[in-house]
Amino acid sequence: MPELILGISAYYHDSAAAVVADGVPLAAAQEERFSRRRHDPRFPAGAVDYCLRAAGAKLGDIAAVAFYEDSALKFRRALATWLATAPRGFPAFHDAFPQWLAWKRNATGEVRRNLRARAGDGGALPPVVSGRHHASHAASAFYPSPYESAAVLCVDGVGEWATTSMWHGRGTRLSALGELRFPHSLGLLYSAFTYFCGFKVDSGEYKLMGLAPYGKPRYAQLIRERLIDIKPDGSFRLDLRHFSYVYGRVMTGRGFEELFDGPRREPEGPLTEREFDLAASVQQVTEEVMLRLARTVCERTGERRLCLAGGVALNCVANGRIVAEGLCDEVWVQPAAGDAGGALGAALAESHRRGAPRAHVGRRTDAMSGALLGPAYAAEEIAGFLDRHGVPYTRLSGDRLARRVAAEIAAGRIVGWFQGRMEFGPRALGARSILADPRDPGMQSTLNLRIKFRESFRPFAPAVLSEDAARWFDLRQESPYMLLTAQVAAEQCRDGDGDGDGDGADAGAGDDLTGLGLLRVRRSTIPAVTHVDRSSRVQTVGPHDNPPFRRLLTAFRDLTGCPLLVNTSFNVRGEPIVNTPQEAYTCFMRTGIDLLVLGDFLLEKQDQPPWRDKEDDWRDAIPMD
Amino acid sequence: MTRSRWTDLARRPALAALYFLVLTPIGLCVRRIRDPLRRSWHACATTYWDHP
Ligand SMILES: [Fe+2]
Repeated sequence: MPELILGISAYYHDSAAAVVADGVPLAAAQEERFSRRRHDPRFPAGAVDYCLRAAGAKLGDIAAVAFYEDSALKFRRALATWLATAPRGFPAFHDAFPQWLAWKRNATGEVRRNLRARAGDGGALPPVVSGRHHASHAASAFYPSPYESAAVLCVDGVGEWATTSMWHGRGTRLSALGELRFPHSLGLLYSAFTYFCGFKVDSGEYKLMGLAPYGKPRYAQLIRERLIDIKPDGSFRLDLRHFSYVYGRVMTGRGFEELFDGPRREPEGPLTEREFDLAASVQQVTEEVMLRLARTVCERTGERRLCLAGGVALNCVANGRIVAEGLCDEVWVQPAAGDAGGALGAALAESHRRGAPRAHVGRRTDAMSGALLGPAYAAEEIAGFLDRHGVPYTRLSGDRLARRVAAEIAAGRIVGWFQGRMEFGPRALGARSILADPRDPGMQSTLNLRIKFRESFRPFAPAVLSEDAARWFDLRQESPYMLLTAQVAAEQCRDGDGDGDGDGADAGAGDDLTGLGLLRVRRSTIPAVTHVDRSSRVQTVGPHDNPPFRRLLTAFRDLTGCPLLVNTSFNVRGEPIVNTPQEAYTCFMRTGIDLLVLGDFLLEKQDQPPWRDKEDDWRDAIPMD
Repeated sequence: MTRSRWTDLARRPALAALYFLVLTPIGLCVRRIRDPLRRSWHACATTYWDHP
């Protein structure tokens, strides 16, 4: 029987559980997918139950439970922060101290209490050990990577003290080389701008990244002069006089208002040139720091392969720059780079500490199974659900299903695609995806407004057959987890005349457009996945990845000559990605999705019985993200 | 966990006393020796990396 380690991350943001067997990830999932509460920070009861089920184990079969951070050390950091900011920090102290005192400084005790409740009175409880936050990130970046040895860089908001760390991974060993500590944090700098631009911290960072290409980095120099002192090796310090997160309840205060032309944008308020330019500016500075950090860690280790994790490693534009600048030969990013991935990292670190090998390295593949580590639903379960609810469907399989769905997408229809095991991490990778035709110039706004009910500026990403990727994107390596941005290849680009008919009548038009006006320009043969700066956040799908999804991409290429599809997550704004067939069906019926594919079952919207929500407007029940 | 109204009412003054009468004086003393958060910039330094 292999030695099973259960990993848990919880009590801050996006809690998760993972189970590994002798160093091999068997299952992993975020709690939000079970509790249906976005970025749920509570004990991941649903995810733990799922992981045990997937491993065919009871709690008593688990050799150890690994918690992803050291809460006592985190408490000491909170204490140091209160001492450093008194008497200004009373509101933050008032909010946080009782929780720290009651249970938070002993998170492993809290984990044990929750596990005890699950095990029942007679059940044996495995030992609970805790790692360090950045050690968990580093383990999640290096151990499942395909490399025997590599440089490892972790960049996030904050764990205990570390906010940035560099490591050298060799075999099953990870050696720490250096760290930057709170309150100096690239993640918190980015979050401060996210907050100041009116988006939600810890979830709106993607939006800021998506907004950046609409603006000009006219504040970048000001940020470098007043907010962050960056050394040539990428290490940095922030000027905390301009931020409020150290002592207050919010990220920024008057200091930001004075520097950046007035008060913070109200959430959901209109976006102006200032927000576009702020986004472009902080993005430019972030990329600059990431490039220097990447160069430093590669030089210090002498490695040409780089592994990334931590929330900032979800900044696929910065990752894409590291690849494009050729700072190293290859980059591998943990698909669950945020704190959810810490559950997997903690489990892997404990497993390798106990002597588990990294068997996958010899096969030159990574150990993530395409990030498809979540629950799957058998055909009988799906059929049972459909029959119970009298849902009409057609059953097709293999190539026939792929050809039929490809034809529907080519005809302009939008498809909900639910196949196999759910993804671990924030990206949908062809298991819980909404798919559409990337050649359709109106598709970006249709998907944003009619399906996802989200802001019109947000770009969509493509999934492309890996063997065809080079003809469509300037991408130097595989990008299986949609965490690298690349430019659309020159042969696919157009000058753009703004009317979307592709006649190129007034080539160069669009140059005088600014802000959201840029959205009207058709820039390539695949406008739905081409951002205003002609970049695209690419997912490559290789010959051994996700067979049903690959079959569909191949069928679409055979039909249209275009080997890619728009691939966006199967959810609406503010809601976690769907997990079960029931959730997929509900999302299908509530939105403008035309066709739903649940495994081999194909459902057409026009055949469905009328849908009535219990709530008058179900969207009111979903909190804004 | 449910808390009574009295617990809530007593909580704020107790926290304020702890913060302003204990933490604040200690914090002021500590900061005279060194800043626990090391907030200052060093123009002459070549790096801010710490050894783990
Ligand atoms: Fe983190």
